Amino acid sequence: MNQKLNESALSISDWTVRYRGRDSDSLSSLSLEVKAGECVAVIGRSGAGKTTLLHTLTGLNNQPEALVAGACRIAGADLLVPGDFRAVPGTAAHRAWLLGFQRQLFERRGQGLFTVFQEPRAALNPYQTLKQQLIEASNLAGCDDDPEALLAQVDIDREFLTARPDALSVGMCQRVQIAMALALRSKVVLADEPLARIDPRGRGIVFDLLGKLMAAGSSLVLVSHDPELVRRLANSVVMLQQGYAVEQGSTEHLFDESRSHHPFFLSFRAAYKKLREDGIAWSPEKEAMTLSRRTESGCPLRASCWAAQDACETWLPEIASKDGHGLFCARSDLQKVEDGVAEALETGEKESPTLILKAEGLAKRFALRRGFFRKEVIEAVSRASLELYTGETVALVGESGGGKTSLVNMLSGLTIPDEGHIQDSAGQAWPILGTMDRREKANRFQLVFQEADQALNPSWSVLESVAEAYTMNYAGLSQGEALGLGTTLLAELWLEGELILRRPQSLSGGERKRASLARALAAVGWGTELKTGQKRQPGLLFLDEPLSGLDPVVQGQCLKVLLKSKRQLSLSLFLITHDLAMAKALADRIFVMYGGEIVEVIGAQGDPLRHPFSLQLLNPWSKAPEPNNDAALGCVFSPCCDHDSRGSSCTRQLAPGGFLKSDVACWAV
Amino acid sequence: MSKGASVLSKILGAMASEFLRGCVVAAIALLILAGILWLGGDQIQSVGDTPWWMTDADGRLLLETFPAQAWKTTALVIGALFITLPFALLLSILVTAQPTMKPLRYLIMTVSGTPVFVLAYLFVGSDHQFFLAATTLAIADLSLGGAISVLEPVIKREMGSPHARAARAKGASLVRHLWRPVAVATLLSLRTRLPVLFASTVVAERIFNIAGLGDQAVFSVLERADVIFLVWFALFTVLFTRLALVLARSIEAGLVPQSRDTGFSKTGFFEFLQSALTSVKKPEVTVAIPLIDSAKRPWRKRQVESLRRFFSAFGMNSREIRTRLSGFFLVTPVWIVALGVLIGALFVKEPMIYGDEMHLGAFQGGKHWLGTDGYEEDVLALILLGARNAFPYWALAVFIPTFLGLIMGTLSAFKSTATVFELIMEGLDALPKLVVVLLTVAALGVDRYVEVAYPMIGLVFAPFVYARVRARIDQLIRTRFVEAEQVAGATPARALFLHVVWSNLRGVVLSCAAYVFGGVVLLDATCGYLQVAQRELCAWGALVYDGVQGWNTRHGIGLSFNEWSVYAPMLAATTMILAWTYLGDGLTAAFSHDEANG
Repeated sequence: MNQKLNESALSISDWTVRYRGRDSDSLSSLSLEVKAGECVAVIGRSGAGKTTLLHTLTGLNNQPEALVAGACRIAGADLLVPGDFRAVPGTAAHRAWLLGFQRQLFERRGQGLFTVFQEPRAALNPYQTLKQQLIEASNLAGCDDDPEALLAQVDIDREFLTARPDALSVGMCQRVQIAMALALRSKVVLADEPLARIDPRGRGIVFDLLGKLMAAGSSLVLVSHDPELVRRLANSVVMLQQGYAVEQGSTEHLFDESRSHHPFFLSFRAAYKKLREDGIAWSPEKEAMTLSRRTESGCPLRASCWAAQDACETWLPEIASKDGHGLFCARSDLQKVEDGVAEALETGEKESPTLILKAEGLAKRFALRRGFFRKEVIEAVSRASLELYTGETVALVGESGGGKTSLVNMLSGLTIPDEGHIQDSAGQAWPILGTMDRREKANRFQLVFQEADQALNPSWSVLESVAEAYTMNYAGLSQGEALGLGTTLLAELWLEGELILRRPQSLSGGERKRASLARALAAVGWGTELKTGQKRQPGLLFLDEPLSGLDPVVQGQCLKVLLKSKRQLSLSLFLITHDLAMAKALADRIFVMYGGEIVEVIGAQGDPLRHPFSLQLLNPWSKAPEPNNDAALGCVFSPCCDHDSRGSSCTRQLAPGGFLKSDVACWAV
Repeated sequence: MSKGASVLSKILGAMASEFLRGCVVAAIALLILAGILWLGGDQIQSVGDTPWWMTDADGRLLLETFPAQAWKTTALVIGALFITLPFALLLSILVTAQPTMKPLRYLIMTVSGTPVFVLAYLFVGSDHQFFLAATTLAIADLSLGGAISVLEPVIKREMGSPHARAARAKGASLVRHLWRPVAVATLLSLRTRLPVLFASTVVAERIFNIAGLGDQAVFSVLERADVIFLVWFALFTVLFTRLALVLARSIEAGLVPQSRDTGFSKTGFFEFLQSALTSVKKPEVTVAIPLIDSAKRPWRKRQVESLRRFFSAFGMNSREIRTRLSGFFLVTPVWIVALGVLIGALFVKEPMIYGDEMHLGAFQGGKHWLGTDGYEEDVLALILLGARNAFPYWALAVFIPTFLGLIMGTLSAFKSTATVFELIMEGLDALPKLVVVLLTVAALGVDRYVEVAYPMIGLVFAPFVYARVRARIDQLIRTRFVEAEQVAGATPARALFLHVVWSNLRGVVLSCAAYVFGGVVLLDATCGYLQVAQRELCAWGALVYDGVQGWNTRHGIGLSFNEWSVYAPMLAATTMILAWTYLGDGLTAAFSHDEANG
């Protein structure tokens, strides 16, 4: 054992964490080992214990209520952790221990342990230049590296050396964080969803750099919801569920479909795969737990496990280890999710579609003053034309800052276009925030905001917010009925129990997103037909990145509810997403947007993507070309285009409004 | 443009912008003062050929006497600043970094909550009067406590910021990463600190016999109704504060890269003008650190929640308080005394006119619980009578700023009148509160204290409420939930009144009202001490003054003296101020459920 620990950059065993006031452990006897230059991925649902693991390993979040036990060795030095951690919390002795523990972690930060944060721009000091920050990192490691060389290692031009983080894109900020890890020569790097906030085109380069970091000798602990990233980067994987490591082993083993796996890992993998490959929103029937729902005897997770059997009630919980593969399950015969345990909902057969709205030549500009006489106009959206029909699902994909939200704000009536017009099916000007009755408007058109954390009243519980959407819009419903419907709807989205009585700030990002989605569904009348007897008119639901930050199983469940509601409430869905693969699986039509313009529209699900930008989006693991500012202007994508047949035509501007049907805005295709 | 030139341009732009704004604020302050003079116009007369606004009540040219007095007062204020700010900074860092130091914070707030006329008597008579006067100014009248409540949230926010966490992840020193924003916040806190300190010199200079502006101000009110001198004093405070802010802004522009870019090179003149006058800074958030973090509590039934709010408002249901008995013993007795005074005031015998022989007797049953004063009047009865006489006026003085602040704060967030409201409030806030009240009393007549002073005591607190309401609304507007509620079907009126005002401003307004109550008691007691309030009111400050005079006289001729006639009104005033301040803390905590706890 000691010999093994000596080889590891990070090794923890029997790592157990319990918060004061909880009757169960947030992490139970977790053991993992990361060797130098390797990557261990930690995956799992929200509340599985991933964040708890990071927090207790880094000690960056003051958690006086957390009790930690177990053995830990970081960069060759043991952390002193008491054996008996069930001492009375909040006492002077516990505080003294916590202080000592924090001090030990403090001594190991930097060279021993470094963290790459999920929000890269916020993690860099806004008051210092990149040069100052890189020099500091290098000096902390006792070195005197050239900051220019460090930037070059992460493919950032030297001109940014004296820039501050606000001058950099999010992807570049993430690269600077990696440069710091390189400068610090960190033995262990904890990466918390390192690609989550990065545009698809920027992911490839960060992905490459994470590999470079490992090649330089650093070990990586990767926390992620993305099975594809894990499969490509990690050497081994630990799956957490309700604080237990339910399965761990090499990546090849876990992603090998011919071997048996834990039911939770199978559902995790299946939900991801079915959505992207088969276009089916899938989630297991029984996995609808949100908080710890453990059983005292037998398998502690059986209450929420779709594969539970009678044998699970008498099983003695232990990890069955074989060939370096650990399985925390009474069953060792499961190779795939069982047929019939889940309801698979396809998008359904379409009725004859009728037009809901038609937008032509929309443009939105924002003015920035750049001097006494000079005013710069930024065109967030230009020449955007589209039509939406009843019963269809339309996806809008593109990069951050590409104009997607500005376009949806115009379509949903929150902002007024500077150019162009939007008409409804009768040719009337689009009246969303105009003359239409308030209730009719709310019943038919809803928007799920991207900023779910900001879209709910901070003083109300999420149940109150959802119930209000019913009482405001459906006069026939009593307060009690609205609360009942709200509870049912939130439970459909796997928010239940004490969670729905919390205020938004006390929920995780994914939980807030689901609460925000629930309110929109409540406003369009989810579950009200029987109670109010109202006949529904076709509606339209705008969804601004509703599923980002959710794990595949919860994504599947939310999509199931959405698609079911779409069918029952005669809704059309207008979905904004970064994830082109998901859009291809779900949507009837896809609009690809770049630089404020719609550059490609594809119709049926089988249509191939042709625009160079769409192709770059489709393959986020390859390194996208850096913008070439010398490229001749004309086509908006020209500076970033890597199309083989790019030619002189690209200097010509495309004619406006030519892409209402299947089409592509590229001279070279 | 080179980097050096760019920074210089930014600094010059910030200075010019702040100077411009300072001029507008000073002009508004002057208009407010002129309005007060206009209300009491018959007080002003020209003497000789010198313009009326250049002379004092005796016809002497103010330019001859004012500079020397101003020099002494300014030296005193700067001395106090040099004590307050470093201590506030150190204590804020200590309390934020080490939660077990919270009891120290309560202790400091308690000491700082004492009025100057109470704390000063600990030091008076010793050597080094100037230093002791500066120390008194630095601590009392919530000077130190106010500075802590400005700096503590800034330090807490910066220490919890992602880049601070990232710096810790690197193993780097936090001092290196956080000194800039903290230094800038400290400098910008001068905007509120300086007027408070200048106002407090009125009492401190009188007690410590320093011939500065404050000492002269009392003389001006009581002896000569010298309103012009008071106007000069108030304007001097405004100008000094704004100049200090110009300096602070220039330092901010040099230190903080993302500070508002006011360089001429980046903006046109009209934008520059506009940016100088609008939203130069968000109102400084000086919400005290909550006694409890209610966001971490699990949801309970509504009734239990209401009870929790009620008790936590008194600091009685906080885990911190429960686990740290020092805090509990500090807060609860304060409220027991304060409630005792308020309830006792309801039952004190009638009539109790000051000096009436009928009532030389006891408070109840012939027993003088706290003894009698120099006029053989029952001390406890006088204190209770003072509370009963003043309580309705205190309530009025609290209602005025709360109502005005709520209305103006709400409207300024939604209407195009925001800039006008903001500048008016900043103009009023720049004036030293006590001096404005003294000026009002001097201009409109000392004998009309009740009808004149109390509304003005209330009015000077309007910027306090306005700033907090505005800050909260700005915070809400930055989120998108108001828009989201309308999309979900709420009418604009419902979104505004139910979701913004009722749901999210209740706590702010209630806590502000509690804080203002403490401030009103402090200001009223100070006016009483300065003998500005009518004697029949039995103002606690006046009782302290009488007690001190009696103490000096009787000790001088070797007679015995009841020390309670001094201590009891001091204690009453201090506990009442602290009780409302703690209630404000508790209400802030009870309603501060919007902190992230994801």
